[in-house]
Amino acid sequence: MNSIRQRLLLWLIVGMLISTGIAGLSMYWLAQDEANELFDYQIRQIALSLPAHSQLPTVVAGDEDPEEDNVIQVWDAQGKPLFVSYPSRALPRYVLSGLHTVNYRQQPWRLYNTQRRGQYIQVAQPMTVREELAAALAVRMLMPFFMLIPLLAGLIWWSVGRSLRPMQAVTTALATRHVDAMQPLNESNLPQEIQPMVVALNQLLMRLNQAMQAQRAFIADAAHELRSPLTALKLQLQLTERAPNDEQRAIAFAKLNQRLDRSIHLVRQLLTLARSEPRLEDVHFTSVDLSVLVQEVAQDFMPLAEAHQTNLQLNAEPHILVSGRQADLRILISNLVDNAIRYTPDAGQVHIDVAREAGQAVLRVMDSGIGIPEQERERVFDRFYRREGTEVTGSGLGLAIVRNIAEAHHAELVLSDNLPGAGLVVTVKFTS
Amino acid sequence: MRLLLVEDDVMIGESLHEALTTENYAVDWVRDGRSAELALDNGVYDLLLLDLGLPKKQGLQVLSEYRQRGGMLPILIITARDATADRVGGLDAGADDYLVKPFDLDELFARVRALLRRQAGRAQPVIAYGEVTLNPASREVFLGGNLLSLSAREFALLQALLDPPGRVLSLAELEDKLYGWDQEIGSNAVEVYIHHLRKKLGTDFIRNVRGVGYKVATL
Repeated sequence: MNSIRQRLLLWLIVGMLISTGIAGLSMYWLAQDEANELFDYQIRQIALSLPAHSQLPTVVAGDEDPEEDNVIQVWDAQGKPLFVSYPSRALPRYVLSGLHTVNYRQQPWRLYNTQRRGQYIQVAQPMTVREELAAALAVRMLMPFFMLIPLLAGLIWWSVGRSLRPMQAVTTALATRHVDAMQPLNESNLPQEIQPMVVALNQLLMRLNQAMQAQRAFIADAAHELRSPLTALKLQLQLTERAPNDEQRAIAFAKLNQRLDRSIHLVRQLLTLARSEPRLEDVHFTSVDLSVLVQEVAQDFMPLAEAHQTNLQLNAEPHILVSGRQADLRILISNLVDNAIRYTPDAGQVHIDVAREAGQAVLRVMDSGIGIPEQERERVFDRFYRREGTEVTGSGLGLAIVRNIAEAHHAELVLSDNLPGAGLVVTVKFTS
Repeated sequence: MRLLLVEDDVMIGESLHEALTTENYAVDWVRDGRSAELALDNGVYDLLLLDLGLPKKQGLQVLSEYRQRGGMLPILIITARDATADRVGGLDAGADDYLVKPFDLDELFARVRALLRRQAGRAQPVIAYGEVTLNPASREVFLGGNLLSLSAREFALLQALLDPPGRVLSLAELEDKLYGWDQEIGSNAVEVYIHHLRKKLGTDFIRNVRGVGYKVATL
């Protein structure tokens, strides 16, 4: 049962029944006390006001008053019964005097015994009389409560429905809105209990909206960026079709291949970027040996470095451990090293350092290229940003991916000049 | 016909350069806005192919400043920006046509021909001058109904003289129309081609204006 209204109603009825039960019980006990006192007084008065023997009428069985509960019995000094008011219910004579309770024929009786003018008088009354009276009293007093329960239930049913009506309005507003409609819900005129939920919902909508707009911008950018490699590809394809002889066709095919590789590279980088976008859930981090990873990456890049006659040097302290995702960190290092080699003129220097500084694992990639002027250092991390006048046809995504991965690893990313001399230093500081 | 190609993407530029060259245009290719301005100042071009997203100076800025200086060249914008606002902005800044990447080479060639045709002040796609008919699209030349066999350079030279006909073009101007920066010009090359053309079209068809240059004979 998951309806507030039903649950409220159930608990209300259960609560009412329990409290009514408690009230009934205490009422019953109270009434019983009162009845005891009253009836005790009554049987004593009966005993005391009994007339002398000669005046007592003789009652025979069959001539009994069924409404009468009390059994009055009188004996003489020798124990001979003189009178019994209710012969069919006659009790034995009890010698105790005063008020007391006895069990006779599995029934409790209240007795009053006294001795007067040589006669023994016993007035007996069944206890059930008192219990019945107490119960009748209690029930009569509880009657209004039982009448109240359905009334209150109806009232609650109605008021809960009424109080939840704003919720219904929110639900309708949400259900009927368009997928893209991210405008916040109306927060005014809401009950105190529902307002925080709507406020939180609005905040979520806002964040979703931002994320969606970022996604849209990304898709638009990506589509735009795909045009250039695709244009190059299409142009080259048409040139290849038009190649007049086998020799030129072979050259054209080689170029076609290059352009295809460029498109593939861009698509791959786009995917990597999309995967490296910060996610809501925490990615599972493991302990990664940065020293080993850097060594592996450096080995992968040896052929490229050789092709550019660039001296690729690695200087890694052993066992520098960081917490992260190995695959992402490999991409981060690869992108930095790839950039360093590509943007450094041939016969240059690229150094990779891994060290522990002030307790932090630090990765540095240094090159002897032209560096990046200070005013551009923020912008180079923007996706699709390509520095003017560079000969390299990159995707413009490498550093954006690096930044995403660094952020996901809570690592600090700093660009600086490679002093003395020229070139760029990229420093990645892993906060432990 | 000599074209200036402004394109910063190496691969696209390379392919366009190759494609236009095989279409017998003399093509100069620059890769940024400032170089484009410098090249335009030479005044040797018949048409400008302009990318918009350029380093150093944006294509639109190059375009509007060129027009402000009174530049008359037909300008074809080649860009990836396909929004209507971009097209309108480009055309209003002074471009004559707008081509969105990626495009077909045939369409590019056709647009280039159309722009050159308009620039020469004619509407007909085929140039007819006396007995001679020249079709820039099919690159065929007819003399009195007979198809002539012309080399690419001969064709380009003839088109330069005929489009529009009657202009006197100096040797240097003709060289400019035939050769891009990257092409070696043999000495007397133009004179050799004129000699060939005269053999095919009749000695009198191309006249030498002494001390000035060459023109086609007045009808």
